Amino acid sequence: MKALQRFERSWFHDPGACVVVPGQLAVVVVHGCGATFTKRVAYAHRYGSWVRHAHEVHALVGRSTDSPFLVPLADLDGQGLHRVAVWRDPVERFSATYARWCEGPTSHPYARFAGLSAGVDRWRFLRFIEWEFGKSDPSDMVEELRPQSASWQPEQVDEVVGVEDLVPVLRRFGARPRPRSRPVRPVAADVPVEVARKVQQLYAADYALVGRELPWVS
Amino acid sequence: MTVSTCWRRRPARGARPGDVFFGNYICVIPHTDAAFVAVSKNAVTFLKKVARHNALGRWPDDTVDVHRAIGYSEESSFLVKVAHWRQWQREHGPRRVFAVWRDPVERIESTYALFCLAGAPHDYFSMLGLQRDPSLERFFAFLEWEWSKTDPLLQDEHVRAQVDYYGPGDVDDVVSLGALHDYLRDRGIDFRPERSNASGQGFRLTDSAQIGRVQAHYAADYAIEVTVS
Repeated sequence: MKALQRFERSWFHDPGACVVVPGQLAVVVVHGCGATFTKRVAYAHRYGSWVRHAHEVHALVGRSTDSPFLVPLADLDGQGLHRVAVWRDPVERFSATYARWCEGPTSHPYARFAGLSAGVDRWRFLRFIEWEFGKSDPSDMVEELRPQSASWQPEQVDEVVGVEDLVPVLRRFGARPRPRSRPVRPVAADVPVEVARKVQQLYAADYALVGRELPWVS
Repeated sequence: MTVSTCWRRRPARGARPGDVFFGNYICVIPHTDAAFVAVSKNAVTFLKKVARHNALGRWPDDTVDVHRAIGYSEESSFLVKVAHWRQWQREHGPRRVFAVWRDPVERIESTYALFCLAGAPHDYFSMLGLQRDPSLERFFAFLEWEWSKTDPLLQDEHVRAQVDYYGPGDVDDVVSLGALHDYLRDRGIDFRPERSNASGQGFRLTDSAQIGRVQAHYAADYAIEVTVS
């Protein structure tokens, strides 16, 4: 029997960069680093309405570079847009994804198939991340767990900001996030030391993005 | 299309954790006194066709359609949860229930051949990257992940142990896969002989450590008493 479907492309998306202010500002889309918020701001800037629900935002703005909002990062070269990458500490990003997937009901299909439902502890979640890191091509990794370094490198962007500094950058270019809205939800800083160390090892390349030595927790 | 896509559906928003994989069901074959436990990779597509055929009087050629027609839940007129089967029989009359038994190593080989080597559509396997990188090493790592899930209903149904689908008291006959056609004939159930969802890859595990691991995990399946072979 011939193969019915050979998947030439990853199941998951490469969202590229989101053009927030046309002609002026693009922000690299990295899940778990204010991606949904960035898309909300981009949509609001263009159409004037603040979309509340995350799934609506992703449906309206899109998830891949087929969307008019989303452009491959390489295609922004020479276009004159200010290219911003949002960096988040990998341990904090780990905690945020863990909270969304494993501390309550999640609608994420991959998390649900993998059995990452409420009650799964951080060690098991970490084991799943190791599975993702075992994929030979980072584009095959689920967006939320894909290293930030797989989405951008410092030489591809004009500015790198911490996730807590995203709003001032957006305002600087005339985008207007809704008052009191935040790029990411605060997460509990209660990651066990051994888990944090393992996360830091896995995401060492993300620390290198911002020139940091591995900040080993003690 | 000859390969099933129907069991691979994305979980609906708000679905319970156990809803992402096919549950443990008994499928009624209409206009007969027979019903079977729907065990994935144990001729279940073929048997669903038998059920549909006996309902409609014509053999369904389209595999996808037959899965859709049979459905995935008790909303289907064909399916009854194993746990609800006794109650169902009290209301609808007795049926003679059978389960097909398949050697667990062969079952795993078939799963690997169908979804990894042949690339049959399967959302979870796609997400896992097992269709772009169908190495046995990755497949076995996946098996270990699934096997380590504490609730069998959260395991992909194609690798869920046969003993986790039904208990000895739930069935009247356990039929080896190779004896299935004869068994159906003996019971007077009309069908068209075919091997549905055959991956055609002819794949066999050769690594004794891998074979041993599969045999060890499915030790309880090997203890199932096959009554028709």
